[in-house]
Amino acid sequence: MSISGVKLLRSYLITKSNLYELLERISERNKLYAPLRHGDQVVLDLAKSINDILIDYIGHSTLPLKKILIPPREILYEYWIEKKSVTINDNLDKIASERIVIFGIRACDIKSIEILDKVFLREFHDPYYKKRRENTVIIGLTCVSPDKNCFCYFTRSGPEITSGYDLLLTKINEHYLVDVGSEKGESIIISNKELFSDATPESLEVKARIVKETIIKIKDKNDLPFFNEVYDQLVKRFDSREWKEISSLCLSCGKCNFVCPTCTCFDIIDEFDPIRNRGKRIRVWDSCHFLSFTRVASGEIFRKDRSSRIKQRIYHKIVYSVNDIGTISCTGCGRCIEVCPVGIDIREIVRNLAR
Amino acid sequence: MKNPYLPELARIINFRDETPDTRTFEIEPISNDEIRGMPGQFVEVMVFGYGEAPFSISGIRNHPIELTVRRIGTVTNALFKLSQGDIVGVRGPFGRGWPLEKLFNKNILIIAGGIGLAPLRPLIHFIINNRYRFGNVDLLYGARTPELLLYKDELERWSREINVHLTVDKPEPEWRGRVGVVTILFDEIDIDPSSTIALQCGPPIMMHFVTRKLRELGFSDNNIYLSLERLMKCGMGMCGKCTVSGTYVCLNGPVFQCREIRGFIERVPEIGE
Amino acid sequence: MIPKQKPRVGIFNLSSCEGCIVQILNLGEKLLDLLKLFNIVDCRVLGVKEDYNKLDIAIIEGCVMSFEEEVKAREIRERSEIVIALGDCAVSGNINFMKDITNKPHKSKPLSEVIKVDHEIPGCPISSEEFYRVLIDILMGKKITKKSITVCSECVLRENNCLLEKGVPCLGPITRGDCNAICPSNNRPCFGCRGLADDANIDALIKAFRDRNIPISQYLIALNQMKHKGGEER
Ligand SMILES: Cc1cc2nc3c(=O)[nH]c(=O)nc-3n(C[C@H](O)[C@H](O)[C@H](O)COP(=O)(O)OP(=O)(O)OC[C@H]3O[C@@H](n4cnc5c(N)ncnc54)[C@H](O)[C@@H]3O)c2cc1C
Ligand code: SF4
Ligand code: SF4
Ligand code: SF4
Ligand code: SF4
Ligand code: SF4
Ligand code: FES
Repeated sequence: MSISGVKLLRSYLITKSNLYELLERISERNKLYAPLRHGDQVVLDLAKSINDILIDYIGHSTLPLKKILIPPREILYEYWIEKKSVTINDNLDKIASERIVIFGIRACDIKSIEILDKVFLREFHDPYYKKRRENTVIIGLTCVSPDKNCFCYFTRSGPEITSGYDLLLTKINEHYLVDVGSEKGESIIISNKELFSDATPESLEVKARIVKETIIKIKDKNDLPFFNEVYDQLVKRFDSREWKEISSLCLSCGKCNFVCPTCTCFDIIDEFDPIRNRGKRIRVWDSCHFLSFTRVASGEIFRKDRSSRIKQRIYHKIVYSVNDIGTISCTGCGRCIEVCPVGIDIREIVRNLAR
Repeated sequence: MKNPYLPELARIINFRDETPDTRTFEIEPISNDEIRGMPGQFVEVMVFGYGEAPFSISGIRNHPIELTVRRIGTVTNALFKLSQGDIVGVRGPFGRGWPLEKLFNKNILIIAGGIGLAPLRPLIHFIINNRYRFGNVDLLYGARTPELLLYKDELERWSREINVHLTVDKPEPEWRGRVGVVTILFDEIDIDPSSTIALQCGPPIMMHFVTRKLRELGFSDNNIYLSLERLMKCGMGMCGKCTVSGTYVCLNGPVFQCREIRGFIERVPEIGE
Repeated sequence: MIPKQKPRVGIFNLSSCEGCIVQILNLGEKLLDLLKLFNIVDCRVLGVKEDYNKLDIAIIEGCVMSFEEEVKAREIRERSEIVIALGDCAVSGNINFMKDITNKPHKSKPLSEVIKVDHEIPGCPISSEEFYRVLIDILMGKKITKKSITVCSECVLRENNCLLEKGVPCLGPITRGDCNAICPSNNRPCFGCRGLADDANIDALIKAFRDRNIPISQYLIALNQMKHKGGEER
């Protein structure tokens, strides 16, 4: 995933109809994931028809792109037992040939890939994640329509984004400006040359203006400190009385973890068919809001208090991540706020504690 | 690179019962590759059909590694049903073990409770095999009943090289030793906290009181080490289950210096807080 | 890995609609597998009635509504190694219990009030997948644990439109999942048939209902009182 040299940072223009043509071509040879409508929700899913793809939607998909790179339920390997021997079949081989294109995600989700990389590709490499990641092309979209809960500006992850994508589209009047972010991106341009024209200086100016306008929209709705600057204050307030109040509201339902683009925790479970002697080891998403998250065989539960669990989530995003991977892991997408049935709002928590 | 989620197939070479609910297994990869574990490290054992669980390496002698397992749930029950020659899967070794390099020429105080002696056993073997490189060595070990003391025959042998102090919560008629929690054994030893390293593993509540006691005696947090137990699924810093204060027990532990833990934001009951 | 002798199983019903037993029949191919692994010696719905003295596993559907049923339950308990309460009626009294939740003393009793129950399979109806899993786990000697996942989090995994946000009284946030949020996915609110989630915060849900002007049902209030009295499960 190297970005080699300045020559890649070129920009092009594409018309809306050519963009659809491009997506059509892409979908012929790849699994194309894109924002689609599902009732009142926007979901990131396999696009069956190019015409279903949403380009100018508000906010973001209910589940973030991690659902593609680390699916909610994924078989790691299967095995069968014969007499005194065991044969293991790695499911990685099935992923090896997949080619994935993710279209239409915004800064907050593009930024999340950087964080997922830091978790899944460090001392140990998660081969399933790695394979999908290598097989994936990201075509991002500059956000112009932040939702009421969006605050990426204050986590310094958006609305402007300069890396993490292969191509980035920005709507400029009737055209889309296309920024190239990687060799993979460049090669898409090269093999579909006739669909693109060179970017004009004006279009670059328009993009800069659009980003500024979006920042203003976000700032108008939010009065927040920058989340990467509140570390010390949060550390000091770990035992603050406010946590009692917050946790008395929390349902421990775990929705906030499942929708968070950077919540990576998982459980591994076993399924076994005693007639055929075949078993599966399956990875499933997990949530630190559940009691079972820290329950060991002796019955001990290390985060028994509801407040210790909600603190785990907030401190992981803003404090522990900094120690661990060198950056906060909240991208300001606002999904956890959107789905919380009792209105627990990470912005309010941080604003109050940082005071 | 090899997929670190896939276990290597290994064979149960032998096993022996330590107590009615604890058994030591000798396990060897069928590929004949060596599992190069350090004292205090652990492996993930897959019992096919049942699942995976982490166990400390309790013996690193020759080729096979030893694991001492207490029967408590799904995987451990299934492991007890296996016999010689049966196949399991092994991943690892994982984690950071006891700080061997910091122990040379020091007095050593080892405190263990119940199954907590298992991860300390390879360390004790190492000390005994290199006895001249260490000062005074004391082992304080407690179990619920005399029957539940691990490695009974070895305890006898160890006591020729190091000072072994034993206690049980509930004595049986023929028990001649001490009765009570492991901290009562502190009255039998005379140590200089500034030249002694304390290493402990046991149930959280034991370590809680032992750490308090050590600090009372004047031990600095730099000279206290503990092995923490947390739920583990991956062993590789990904699943997130084992974290304390955002630190991975599987990667950066299970052995920690008390000082490191004292710097954590989240409370850790084992260090007496 | 599995015992040589097939465990003998009896399936019984007390006061219930037999909906949970129907769920067992819905297992299809997996039911055939179970029949290979277990020996069903008594089941009215399947029309099986063999001569037997002892049972390895008794599966009882329904709650206890009468003295006769109480006697029947005790009698089954006596001859069985393991007793499984099948479905909400057996686990908690369900509909019959809710109906007379305000009458005291209640006429209907969950099975566990009358006899010792070893395992519970909640749900109205039960999930046939879970039934299969529990039986296999018993056979293999696995520890049977309930998953901690909530209905609400399974619902968001399916990217459903949230009913609560539309003012519908959905109990998903406090209910133990593992049903794949089947009700909200079909546009029906969760009525909590799988029992309370771990550390369920009913007070917080009541507040969430109030904030949305959703009426608080008698049932929810009673559930909350029971929880505060210390009963973990309902
Ligand atoms: C670093 C480390 C070293 C350990 N060393 C030993 C040892 O030497 N001897 C020994 O007897 N026990 C040891 N344990 C504890 C042992 O892992 C648990 O007793 C075992 O996981 C129980 O599994 P089970 O399936 O029998 O129990 P169940 O309760 O049925 O557990 C189901 C699953 O949950 C997980 N799990 C449950 N309890 C624990 C736990 N305490 N720690 C981690 N995962 C858990 C496992 O994945 C297990 O498969 C160690 C634990 C850790 C973390
Ligand atoms: S914590 Fe909330 S706002 Fe931050 S990235 Fe996760 S879901 Fe988005
Ligand atoms: S610990 Fe909690 S907040 Fe952190 S990644 Fe895991 S589920 Fe998300
Ligand atoms: S979504 Fe809200 S109520 Fe549910 S666990 Fe998260 S913070 Fe608590
Ligand atoms: S419909 Fe019910 S279960 Fe689904 S998200 Fe809303 S409250 Fe939760
Ligand atoms: S959604 Fe609720 S009511 Fe429906 S099956 Fe699941 S737990 Fe039962
Ligand atoms: S065991 Fe998975 S992160 Fe430590």
